[in-house]
Amino acid sequence: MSKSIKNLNEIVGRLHEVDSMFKFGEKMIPVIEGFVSFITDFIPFIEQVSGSIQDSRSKIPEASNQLDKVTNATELAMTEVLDKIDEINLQLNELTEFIDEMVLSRTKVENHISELYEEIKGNEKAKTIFKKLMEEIDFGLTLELMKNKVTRIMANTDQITMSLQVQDITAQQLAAVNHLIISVQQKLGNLLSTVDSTGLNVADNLEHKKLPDIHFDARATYNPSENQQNVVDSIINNEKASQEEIDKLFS
Amino acid sequence: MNTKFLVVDDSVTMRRIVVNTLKSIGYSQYAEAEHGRDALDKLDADAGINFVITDWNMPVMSGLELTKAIRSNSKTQKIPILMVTTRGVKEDIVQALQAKVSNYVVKPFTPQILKDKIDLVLSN
Repeated sequence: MSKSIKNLNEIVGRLHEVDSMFKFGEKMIPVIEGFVSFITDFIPFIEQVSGSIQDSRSKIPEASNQLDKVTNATELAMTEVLDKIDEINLQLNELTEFIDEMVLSRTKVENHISELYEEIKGNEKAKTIFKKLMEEIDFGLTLELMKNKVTRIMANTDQITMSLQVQDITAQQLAAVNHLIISVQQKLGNLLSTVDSTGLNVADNLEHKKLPDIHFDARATYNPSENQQNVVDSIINNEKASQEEIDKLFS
Repeated sequence: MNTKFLVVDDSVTMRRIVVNTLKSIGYSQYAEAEHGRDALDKLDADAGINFVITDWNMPVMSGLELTKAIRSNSKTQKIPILMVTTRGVKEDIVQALQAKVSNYVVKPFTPQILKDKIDLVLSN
């Protein structure tokens, strides 16, 4: 008898638990409804965000191609500039040879002038005219000046050639940026694929652009100062000295 | 001068600048390669090449890998190698020296710097 009462009490206890669950469920229903409503409202928002991501992602290949075009265009332009520099240098070399020939020719002329001067020694009027004439045609200084000018122009073309190395350095910087934006595109693509796997239809049809096979120095900077080379030289000297000391220890 | 250079760089502009500099300092014999692998092919095909000027950052095979490949081949191991690169930090220089480059020039360089380094390498 007492066992039956114990069982009944247990059943009543269970019923109370079930009753509590129902009451809790009743309280939870508005919360769940609110949550479902929130998710329902949120889906268009996610789709909108993914649309924006797709839009941005679709523009990345274009940006990347644009950077490639910039690199190719500048390289082409640099080649044209170098062609012109070659041409200028060739002409300057010809001009230098021409000046050298003139200097040689001048020596011969000076010898003739000396001979002529000997011939007119007795004629004062002729000597005066001769001196005036020599002042007018003293082209030795002019030739020297011309040669100096040519040397300076050649130094300037060397300087231009050095400055053109900026193209290689900027190309490496652009390659670094290109690498970065293609990586971003890939990450965005992966993100969209993940969201798509949840059942939302957000995956794009864009191809994943492969990272280009370009090796670059992301830290490349244009620094025309020779200090940079001096720093490199001192590192090399120190390293070589250290190596020599190590070699001595093992010899 | 009997020195024949192999100028290795993926940038057309840089190859041109190095070649022009070589010409201006009196060297007229040279060949060109776009990357390390191309350079190894050129070295294999032309036994007259006896000086390599190489960039570091290149596709297919880098200048560092090229240096190691040249040094590990008994036919080419004694060829002087001048590394010409934008990489100027100590770690890079040490790495290049460990790979046994003959000397190291940082870009941008002047014709005089390139000449001095070539002279130094050849005198050694």
